[in-house]
Parts: sequence; structure tokens; C-alpha cells
Amino acid sequence: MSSEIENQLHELEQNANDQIAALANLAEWEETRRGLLGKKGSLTGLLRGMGKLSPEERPRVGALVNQTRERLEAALEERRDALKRMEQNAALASEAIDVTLPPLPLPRGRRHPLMQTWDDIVRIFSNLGYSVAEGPEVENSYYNFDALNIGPDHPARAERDTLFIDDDRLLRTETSAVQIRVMENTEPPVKIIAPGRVYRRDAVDRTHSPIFHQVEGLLVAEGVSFGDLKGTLTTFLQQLFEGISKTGNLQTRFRPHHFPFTEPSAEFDVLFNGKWLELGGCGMVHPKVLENVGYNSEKYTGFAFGFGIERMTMIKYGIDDIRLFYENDLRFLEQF
Amino acid sequence: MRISQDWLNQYVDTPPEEELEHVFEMAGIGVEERENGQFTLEITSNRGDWLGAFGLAREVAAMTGNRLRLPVIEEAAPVTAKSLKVEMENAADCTRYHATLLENIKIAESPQWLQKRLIAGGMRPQNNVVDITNYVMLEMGQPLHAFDADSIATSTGGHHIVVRRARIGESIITLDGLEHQLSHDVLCICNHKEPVAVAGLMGGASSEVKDHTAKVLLESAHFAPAAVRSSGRTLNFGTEASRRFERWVDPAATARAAARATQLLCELAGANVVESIDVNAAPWHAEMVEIRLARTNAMLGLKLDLPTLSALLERLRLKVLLKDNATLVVETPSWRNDISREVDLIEEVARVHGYDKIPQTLPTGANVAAGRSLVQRLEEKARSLLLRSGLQEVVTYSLENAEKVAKAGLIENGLLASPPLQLRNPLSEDYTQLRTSMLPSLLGVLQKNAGNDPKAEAARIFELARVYLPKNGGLPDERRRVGIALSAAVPLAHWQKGSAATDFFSLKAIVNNFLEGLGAHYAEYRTASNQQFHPGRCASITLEGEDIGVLGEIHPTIQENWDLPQRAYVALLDFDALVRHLTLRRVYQPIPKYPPVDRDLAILLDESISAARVNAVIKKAAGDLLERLDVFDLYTGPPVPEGKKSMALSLRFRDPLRTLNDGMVDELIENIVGALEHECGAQLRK
Repeated sequence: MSSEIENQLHELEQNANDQIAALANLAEWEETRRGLLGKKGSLTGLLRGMGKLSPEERPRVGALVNQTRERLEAALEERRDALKRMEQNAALASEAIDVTLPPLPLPRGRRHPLMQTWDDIVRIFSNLGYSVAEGPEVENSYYNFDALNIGPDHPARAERDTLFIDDDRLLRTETSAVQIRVMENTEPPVKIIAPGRVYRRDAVDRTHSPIFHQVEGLLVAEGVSFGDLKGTLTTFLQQLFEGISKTGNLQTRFRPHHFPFTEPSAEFDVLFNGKWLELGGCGMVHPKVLENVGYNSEKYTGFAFGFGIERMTMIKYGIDDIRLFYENDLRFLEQF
Repeated sequence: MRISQDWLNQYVDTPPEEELEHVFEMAGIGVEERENGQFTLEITSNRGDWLGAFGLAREVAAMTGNRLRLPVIEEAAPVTAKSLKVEMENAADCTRYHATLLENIKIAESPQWLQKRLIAGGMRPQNNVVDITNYVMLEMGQPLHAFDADSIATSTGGHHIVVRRARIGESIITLDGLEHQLSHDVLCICNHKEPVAVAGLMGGASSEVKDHTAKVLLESAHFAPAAVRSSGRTLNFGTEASRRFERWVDPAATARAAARATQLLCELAGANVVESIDVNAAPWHAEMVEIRLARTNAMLGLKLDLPTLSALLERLRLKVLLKDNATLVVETPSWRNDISREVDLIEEVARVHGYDKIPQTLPTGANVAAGRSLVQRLEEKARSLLLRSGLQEVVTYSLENAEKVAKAGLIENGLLASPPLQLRNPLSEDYTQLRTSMLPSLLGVLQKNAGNDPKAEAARIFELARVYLPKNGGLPDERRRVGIALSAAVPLAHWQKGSAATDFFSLKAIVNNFLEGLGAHYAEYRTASNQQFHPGRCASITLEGEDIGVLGEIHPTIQENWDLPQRAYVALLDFDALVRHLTLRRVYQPIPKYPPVDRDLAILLDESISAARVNAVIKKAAGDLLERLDVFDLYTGPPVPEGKKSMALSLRFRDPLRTLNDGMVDELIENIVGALEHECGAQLRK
């Protein structure tokens, strides 16, 4: 008796496996699952036939049926996962797009190239411990000239070079005026940079603009030396032009020069594509300037430097016309 | 200053051309051009002594350590004959005047060697007399002048020179044929009645050496830099001579230069000396300047010893004395007027030692205030917010002219414009005044870009910069302003539909985002009227009752003034005012635990009632439990009656402490509807 059931069970499992393997979609799968394992399913039907068995045989056959059921359930499960994957793959295939099509452009906010350089400069000097100071663009003659040891006869004071409002008020010709304002209000040590707009009575051409941007730097403390000035500017320039110099180690040069507000004075250059490019002026703060703001020039020494943001930016990006910065042609600005 | 290496080699051995360029540069003499041993040098304003071959040779010798071989030129003893008289009005203008009267001159071409030297020095040969004066100037740095002696002859047969300031009403025609009106600011060389030369600048046509001139007065003088500068500034020109006098001409070499030129005039022009006179009204005296070893080393970052320090200074041919074992005393040389303090000598030490040999170090010491200030950090945040809204930053000129201001429709109006500060001496008529508003600058950028490509995508720009508001007298109030401008360009044709058109609300979204990003959540927008904007599309922005800005669609007339093909939208914000309302403080709010209740309301109300009004009425009626309020639909036109609009609102309520039940929300909605009916005349649409 039991062997008959066993045969039936064997046959059923074989048929069921064939059936499962042939399933084409999830709807068929559900139908098949019900046909095998549901309340009216064939395996359930077989189980009902167990009543005819002797009590001794029942546990063994019962166990066999359960094992078959488990195997079928596992086979169904596996088949269902496969069918799901197939259906998902089909759906995804139908949703394929041409990924090479151009998207709608997102408006990208870009910093003006001058302001990018401004930011770089501020970042580098902030890291070197400098505060960022500001001063007025419309200045008194005193701060722009006298306090900087630029005497009344100095050619820079001529109507030809400086834009005046009246005898006492003018558009500052360098950010150096900020030095004086800061020192007047601070006891040493003073460690600042002052970026900002400056004005010259220049006609607009490829290399001149009546308005441009400068950065002034000033360190006044005990024991500040010309060596410190060289080290500071070299460190700064190496960071600013990082990746620009082909040799990786940007070379700087300090040449003697003359400014009324520094002594010793220098101009500083970088070696760029085999040529020395002049970048700005610097020097040890003239003791007269320190005395003008009431500092003890025996106790304190300091250095100051100044350079143009336009020049740095032009070198960095190979820009050959300063007018591009103020024309604000988006085709230019969008390159940065 | 132009000079050939050959000439220098006569006085000092020079290294090869390229190395010589480096020697010049590292001495502080800029090399503008170098070609085949010919140098064009840039001489700084403190070094008159470099404007002569002798002075340059002296510097090259100091920098290279090579021996200097300058020719020895002795002063000639004065020859007195009483016909020559030199008067000086003020010794401060002219400290020394040496005059030599020469006769039997034969004007001719100069010899080739002399012409060559002049051409190499950038000067045009004229005749032997003029060429000799120019040659000695290029050689010794002392400008000389030769007068036709007849021009200073007196009626009694003598020769009379007066060095004085010009009187009002006097004039002179200079060698170049130009007539100049003179004033007290101009120092002149005069005969007994009128100016015959502008001292140190240029001779007069009347006293010029002519082809038949046989008698010449040779002038070698020391004019004060300030006097020559004053003349040059007043007459608005400069010459090779004035460049030297303005800097400094060696007052101890006046008579030597005269002797040198006289010798050449005798040799090359057949001259012989009739008489000479040397009026040294204010003889030059050396000063003693101390230099301390310790100070020098500290300032430069060097470790020199005293003998080295002394040797470095002596290379410059300075007289150095030992004061004590730590201090030297230096006698200032007559050819330099730029050494008056210790620090001037320290620079000399640095130059001769070599700037490139000073080791690089970094200063020590912390700065607690390093980096940006609070306002500067807020400025950075503001920029970053605007960039994140996809705006391009621009940098525009802060100078403009009245025409641009008028084109932008700016009238005096608080935030927008005030009478600008005018420049006294503008160079260009485009830049005559300082801006008081960002509006013309922004419109200019839109115009520029619309002109480039009428089909270009919308321009979206901003600038954070200063405007300059005049105050009574004094310096103007320089205020930071944020200007934002959008142009409504042709929508982009794209396979992907859905690029939104630019309108007032595109701009308002940016402004809103900007203000909220800075922590100003409570900005209020009110309908405003400004001449520059569309009368129905302009809003003022206030923060805690203070006006901080305006935004709107640019008035079509102004759009036309600037040739803008599309509508434009501009926001102008007073950043300094805005900053006063900001704080860095942010307090965390817990994420809500209880679920919200969402309700929609549709109301019918007069078109004139603003969303802000509806918002305010609802917020007041709803109280704290109202979490969000949005307008999700707005409609006018049939079936909505004329003059009315339909507004659909979505409201979200939430109680942070418990779950809200429908009954409570129903009650709130009832309050809200009541308030809307009562205060806005709204009808609930069912």
C-alpha cells in the first residue's frame, strides 16, 4: 500500500519539477503553486490518501510527503525569483534611454576670475596668520600720500596720475593707505592684508585700467626682517601659482627698487616660462611711516608689500587683455 | 637712460652683456631693453647719479668689486675780467652757478666718435657746442647749457645773468618754438631784463647758439630739485636736463663739469676762455650718518661682522669711520641726496651684499584675529548663496557718467540714488563720477551680453560691491550693495521640454533664498513704486521695519534705453543694512514626532488683496499650530466674477506635543475662514 503512495509521490514530484521549469511568468507560477500545494492541490490530495495507511506506516510516509513538499516549495521559490528577475529585466529593457543625449543645462554660478584670485590670496594669507583689513576707496591726501612719506613734490601726486575729488579727497592710488588707518588704531603687532579697488588716471587699453584691484600686506612687530619678507612672499607665490610652474618649485627674485614708504625697497618677480615677470613692490616699512603713526621705530620693524590682483590673474590664466575683466562678457566669464 | 657697454668698459671692466643686465637689475637699475651691448635703463627717482656714465660705472664697480677707472677732471681756476656778472635771487632755488664765457667758437659738426656716443645715448647730434654740452651730461650727469653770449649782453658790453623766479606777465619762447606764459612757479635764467631760459629745463629761442655764433656762455649749475619740478609741473613738460635736476645733480661737480666741457670746446670748437665765475651761494656739506651692526643684521636677517659691513659700504666709495666696536659713521657723498638715516645705509648694505643672498625666513608669532572679519565672512556667505542660485558674478567699474545714470532713470531717491561725487580731473568722459547705485552697472552688463548674441541664454548675474554716498564734506559713505539682474532671454529650444521662463518670481525666489540663507527669515515684500521699475511689478523688501532693498521688472522705457531685447529683472539690496539684522546664532529645532494634518482652502476675493495680506490674516487666526501655508492655485477669469480672483491654499497644522485631532483642526479652519471673510471680504469656494 505504502509503496503505491510512494510511487505516486515520486511521479508527482517529477511532473511538478517539469512544470515549474516551464513556467513563463508570475501568473502561471501562482496557478501552479496553487495546483500543487494549495488546499485543493495535488500534493494535498495525496496527503489525504494517507488515511488508508496502517498506523505504523503513516509517520514514515508522512515524513516523505513533507520532504517532497519542502523540495517543491524551494523549487517554486527559486523559480519565482528567476521569473521576477526576468520580468524586471524586460521592464528595464523597455525603459532604456539614449544616455548620450544632452541634458537641460543647470545654471552654474561662477565666481568672477578676479574674485577667485582674491579668494585664493585671502585664503593663503589667512593661513599664514594675516587679518583681512579694509579701508575707504575715497581717501584723504594725508593717508594716500603724506603719511606714506610721499612728499608734496612727488610726481604721484600730480593731477596727471591721480583722480581727485578736490584738494583733500582723491580716489586712492594704492591700498597702502589702509596700512596707516590700521596702524593708527592698533598697537603692534599688526599683521594684515588689505585687498581692494584702487584708481589711477590711466586711459583704458590692453594693460591699463583706471580701476583695478590691489592687495597690500603689512607686518609690524619686534624683530621682523627682510629675510622674513622674502620668505613670506615666496611662500605665498608658490601657493598661489601651485601647479602653474613646470618645475614645480616656483622661483622668486627680489630686486632693489625705490618707494618712499619702504627702505630697503624691492620689486619681486617670478620666473615664468623662462622669463622674469615683475609682480609687485615690497620692502621694510620706512621708519618715518612708523613714526607717523606714533610707533616706536627702534623697537618695531616691519615689512609691507603690494601687488595687483589683475596681474596675478592674467599670469595664472594667460589672459592678455585687462579689459576682459570689466567687460563681463559671459563667454569670457564662463571659462573660469 | 641709454648707455652702451663699450662706454662703461672705458671706466670699469664689465661682465658679458647678459650678466651685466643681472648686475644692473640686482643694483636696482631696471633694464628695459638690451640689444647688442646697448642698454635702456629705468632710473628710480632717488638716483640722479645713475643718469650719467660715471655714476653707472661707479655702481657697476661697487656691485662687481671691479676697479673703477674714472678720468681725473680738475676744476679750472676762475678767470676774472669783470665783464661777467651772475646774480642769484634765492640760494634755495639755485645753490651754485658756474659760468664760462668763451670766444672764437667755430660752429661745426661734431666728430664721429662724439656723434656716435650721443646717438647711443638716445640724443640727436646738432652742432659741436650743443653736442659737447649733451655729451658731458651723458658722461657726468651734469646738464649744461650754452647761451649765445649776445643774448645776455648788457648795453655797456658786459654779460649779465640773473637766476630768478619769473614775474607775472613774462613769457618765453623755448628752443622747440613753443611759447609759455610764466609765473612765480617757474625758475628762469634771465638777462638784465627778461628770461632767456627756463632753468634746468630748456633754453629760450632767443638765446640759442646759432650757426654764426662765436661767443658762448657755458652754464653749469646746481638747481634745486623742487624748483625744477615746480617749473616742469607748471609748464607741463620735461627734458633730459630736468629729469636729472629733479632727482639730484652732484653740487660738488658743477665746476668740474664746466672744466670738462670747456676743455672739449677748446679742442673741438676752437674756443678760448675769456672769463669764468663760480658762484657757490650755498656750499654743499657732507652729513655724518651712523649705522649699527646689530640693527643692520636684525633688519636684514644677516650675520655680518663689522669689517664686512665697513667693506660693503666702502665699495660704494662712501667714507666710513669707526665709531665704536658696534657702530660705523658714514660721510654722505655729494652725488647722492638719498642717504640721511641709518635705514638708507642699511639698504645700501643689502644691495651691495646682494638681495639674493639674504636667506628666506618666516616670521613667528600668532595672530588671534587672523582671517576674515565677521562682515567679510557674511559677505562670503552671501556670495556663495548667490552662486548656488546659479548666478554669474560680475565685476564692474565704480566710476560712471551722468548719462548712464539718466539712462537708468535714477533720480534722487533714498536707497537708489543720491547726487554723486564728481571727479575734478576725469581722464575720460565715460568715468566722471562715483556710482551711487548698482543699477547702471548691472544694466550695462545685460546690454553688453544681449549685444553679443541676441539668441543667448538668459543672463543671470550679480555683484557685491560698493556705492559711494556723499556726506557733507568728508569722505563718502561707502556702502556694500548686492545687485542681482536677470534677463528674460528666449527660452532655450531643447529636446527636453520644461526650461522655465524668467519672470519676477524667478528673481524673487533667488532673493528669498538669499535672505533665508543668511538667516533673515522674516523679510517682508510690499508693493512698491519706483520710476526704474514696471509700476505693477516692483516690491520693496523690509527687515524688521527697515527698508533693505527693492526688486522688480525693469520699466520698458529703461529697457529700451539700454537696448535690451528682453525684459529684465533687477534686485538691489543694501548689504550693510541687511548685515545689521543678521546673526550667526542658529538654534536646533527637534524633528517633529507627531503627524501633521493637511487641509486645503479655496477662496474667492478681490483681486486687489495681496497674498501677503491673506497670509497675515491666516497666520493671526491660526496661531502657533499652523506649520506651513502655500498658495497652490491662483485663477482669474470665468467663472470667477470680474475683479475677483480664486486662490487655493494648502495649510499644514501640527502640534509638537501631541497628535492633532480633526475636531481641533476643524475649529482652527472655522476661525481662519471667519477671519478671511471678515478682514479680506473673502468667500469660501465649495
